[in-house]
Amino acid sequence: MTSHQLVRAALLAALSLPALAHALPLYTARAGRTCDNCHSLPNTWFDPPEVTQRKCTLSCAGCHVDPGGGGLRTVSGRYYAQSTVPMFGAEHRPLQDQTREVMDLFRNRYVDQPSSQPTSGALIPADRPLDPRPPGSPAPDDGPVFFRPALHGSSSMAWLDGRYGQLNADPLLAFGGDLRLGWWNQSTVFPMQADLYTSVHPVEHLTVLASAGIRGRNRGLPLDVPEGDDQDPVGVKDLWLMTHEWPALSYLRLGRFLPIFGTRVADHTAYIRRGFGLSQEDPANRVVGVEAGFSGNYPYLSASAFKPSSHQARDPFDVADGWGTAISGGYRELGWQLGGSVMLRRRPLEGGGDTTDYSVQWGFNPWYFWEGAPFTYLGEAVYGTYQRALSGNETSQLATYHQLAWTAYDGVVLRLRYDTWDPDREVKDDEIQRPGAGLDLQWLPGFGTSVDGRVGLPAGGNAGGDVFVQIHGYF
Amino acid sequence: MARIRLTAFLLALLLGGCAAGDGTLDEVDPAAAPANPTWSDPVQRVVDVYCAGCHSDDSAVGAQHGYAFDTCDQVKRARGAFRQSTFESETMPPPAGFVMPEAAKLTMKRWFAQGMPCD
Repeated sequence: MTSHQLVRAALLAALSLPALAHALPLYTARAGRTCDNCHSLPNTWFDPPEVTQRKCTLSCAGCHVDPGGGGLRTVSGRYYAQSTVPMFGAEHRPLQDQTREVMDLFRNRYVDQPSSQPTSGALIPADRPLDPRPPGSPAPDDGPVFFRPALHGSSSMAWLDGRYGQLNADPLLAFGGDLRLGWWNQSTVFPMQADLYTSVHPVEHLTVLASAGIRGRNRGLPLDVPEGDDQDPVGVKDLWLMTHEWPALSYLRLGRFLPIFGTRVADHTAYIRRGFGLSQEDPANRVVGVEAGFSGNYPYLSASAFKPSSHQARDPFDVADGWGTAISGGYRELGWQLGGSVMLRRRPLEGGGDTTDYSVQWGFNPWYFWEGAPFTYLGEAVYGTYQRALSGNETSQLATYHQLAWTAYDGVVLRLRYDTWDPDREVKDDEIQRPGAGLDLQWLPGFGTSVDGRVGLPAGGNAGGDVFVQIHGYF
Repeated sequence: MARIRLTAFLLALLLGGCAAGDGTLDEVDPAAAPANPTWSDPVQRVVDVYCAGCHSDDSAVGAQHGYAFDTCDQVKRARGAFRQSTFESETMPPPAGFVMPEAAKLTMKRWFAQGMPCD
């Protein structure tokens, strides 16, 4: 295969094929079950830091450096991926979900392996008191959750030794990557995603992050993009500086990023993402600006103001004409979540035109309420107005997304999904509905496979289905 | 009555499959696509994005089902199958993976209607 063919295949893949749809939202909701994803000492339910100081959250920032999700994992995210997600090789286990291991079919791992005993507490030396904070620290449960003074001091237990097993709890440098190889019906194996990330965390409250990799083709309709203006197939995606880990996990970041809007499902072909210029792989969807927010349990809010990126963006800070703003907020409980988002973009027509988008997101995690129901349901509806590329006339679109996941065992997840899109509400018979099903197998920490089948049901045409197999490695 | 309308609206929002629209794109906004499209502007780019990924001698998967759309002449030779699958049955591009925008479809239809000029 020539390099040209490889690039073309990658672009095709980025444009058309599903990525693992389970990543962030499902794991986030599921995190409500696995105690030591948040609790410092889950075996004793002892959580000395006051609530606003904890690093604990059910939002994206719990597992990813990017507050909006995706890409480089935090130490908590790495720990979660190693201890809870995979079928095999999870040496460091939380108390909950012990019985959900595939290996339990063959032997009682809980009894056999000392390393599977209660996690954080088991790693703390016997001579260390359970409360590792300095003498005179405030009482663990010291009042209301929110609206603490801004400078309340740092969290004493956030980076407790042994809290994350063998992982470095607070690294100065962090590296990560995602590689996804896909196979679509009878085509060849091709790269879908090849991203590398790095972050520098020189002092508390400051992180710089950069990501680069294969980039998808620009989202613009080919009618209004000049010939020869294809994007580079490889390049910088994100580059920003952030001050964070303030009370209630509040943060402020500057640079080039994908603004927070709706639920960032990993499937970039989901109509709620692609249809609204929010696909992660597309550099044209990145913006250059400032964003602030918080996501301590359980409410969350973020707001951003930005300039759009140029289509090519060889220089990460090369911006195009226009401006935009996005606000997203809501409440993520252990058993349910509800949120809303608004985004405005005001651009020249050749830069994408004006858009105004509204989103409602919800989730339900019956697993939290009843052990016998290991299901997670997530949904979102997005409505927005936009300008048609050539005429500039305004119209509207509506997209929805539903996902129901059954975690049969750790690392074994069956999914049902259903998404719909009416891309132009003024045009009749252009709607499409797309039911699908998938099986995710996370074999080992950092390695999984998935199989997806989808059926496209266009209003004015015949149904068409596809099958897609994916191999995903990450670190 | 108001409760029924609200329920219907919420169901439509949840399922999203409700039909809407006043007419074809050609009827509601004729200027949404070029009036006189040619191969070089912008038909080739439309074909490249929505077709040539699987139907090209140069693609990773080759010319699927024997159709290559790298040149204007190749598209013209396959115009019967192209029209049937793209405009009539709408089985291409594969609906589970792609949604070809109405403006792109309208462009292609006009190009076909004008004799598929290769300039």
